[in-house]
Amino acid sequence: MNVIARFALIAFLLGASGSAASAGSINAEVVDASGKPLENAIVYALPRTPATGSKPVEISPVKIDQIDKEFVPRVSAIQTGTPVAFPNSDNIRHQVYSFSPAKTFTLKLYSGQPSEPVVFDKPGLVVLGCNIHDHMVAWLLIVDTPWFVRTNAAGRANLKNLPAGSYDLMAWHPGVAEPVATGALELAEDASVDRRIALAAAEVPRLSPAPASE
Amino acid sequence: MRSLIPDSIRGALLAATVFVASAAHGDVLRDDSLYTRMGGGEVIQSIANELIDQASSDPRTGRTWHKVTLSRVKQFLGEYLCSITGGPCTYTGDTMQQIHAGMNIDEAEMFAVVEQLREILVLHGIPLRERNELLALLAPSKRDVVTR
Repeated sequence: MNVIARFALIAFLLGASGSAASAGSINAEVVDASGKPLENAIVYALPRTPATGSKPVEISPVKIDQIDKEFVPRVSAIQTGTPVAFPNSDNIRHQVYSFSPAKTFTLKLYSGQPSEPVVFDKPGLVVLGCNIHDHMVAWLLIVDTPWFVRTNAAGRANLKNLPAGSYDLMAWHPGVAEPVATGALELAEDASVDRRIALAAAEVPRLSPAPASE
Repeated sequence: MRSLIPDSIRGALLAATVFVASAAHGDVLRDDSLYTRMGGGEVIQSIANELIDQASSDPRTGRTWHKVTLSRVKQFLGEYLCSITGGPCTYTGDTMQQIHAGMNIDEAEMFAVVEQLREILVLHGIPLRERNELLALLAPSKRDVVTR
């Protein structure tokens, strides 16, 4: 079964078992220590009790591309167990690797040759590099929940379609070592909660576009 | 036809010649690989390092080296040269075809690198015969390197 078909099947199964009754949301704004909006942070809600109700019906195939000798995107999050495709939009070779305990691997990407997706089966942070191009770096956060989102340039991240219940709201950014628990949160049926999260994130030079020459 | 040299002397001369030849050869008979004649692993690694530094900084050939991790290429080139010259190395890198795919290298770029290599070999005092042997070993990979 190819990746798309597998995703379609998972999406179908989740959709079939999901209940349409509740659709709570958490609207987060992530700022740095000085109060400036923080882009590329991951906000996620961990259910405090095992989820029994609905899950998001949409699980889209995840990919981390190689474009112009950079990872695209540089920061992303996935739910534990999600396969990630590593296409190579460059016409030269790459060699993606991770030494991170959550998933250690090396993946040779040759020009015009598709590779097998990599399944990330443990939660945690994976930092990706390229053996051929040392400056390339990407961060992939694997979380044990389907409710996660990356902040946009305005530092905004909206989590949608959460069933009522209690959650731990977590936040992470490449500039902090580990995900930070920002507090528990009680979500009523169809409720919408606003949260402002301050993260003491260090500057990450590689997050901004790489300089034209090394 | 009679030789000007008496047979007895001729025989001695011939024996001496054979002896000299085998003695001169004797020192390297155990290992007459190009690797050894070029000076071994350290010399070959230096040649690899210098070639990568040159190729990546020379405007004629620098184009394909942008953002490439040079230390790694040096290590693999050293290993590659060691293995093809008969040294005690096994090359563990990608094929020449895989490495150069998509780079659109033309003949002028390749010949410029050959010229850089030739100069580096001369600077290391590698004799003409060994220089030519190395270039002959590298020549067949032209078809994997030059793609336009």
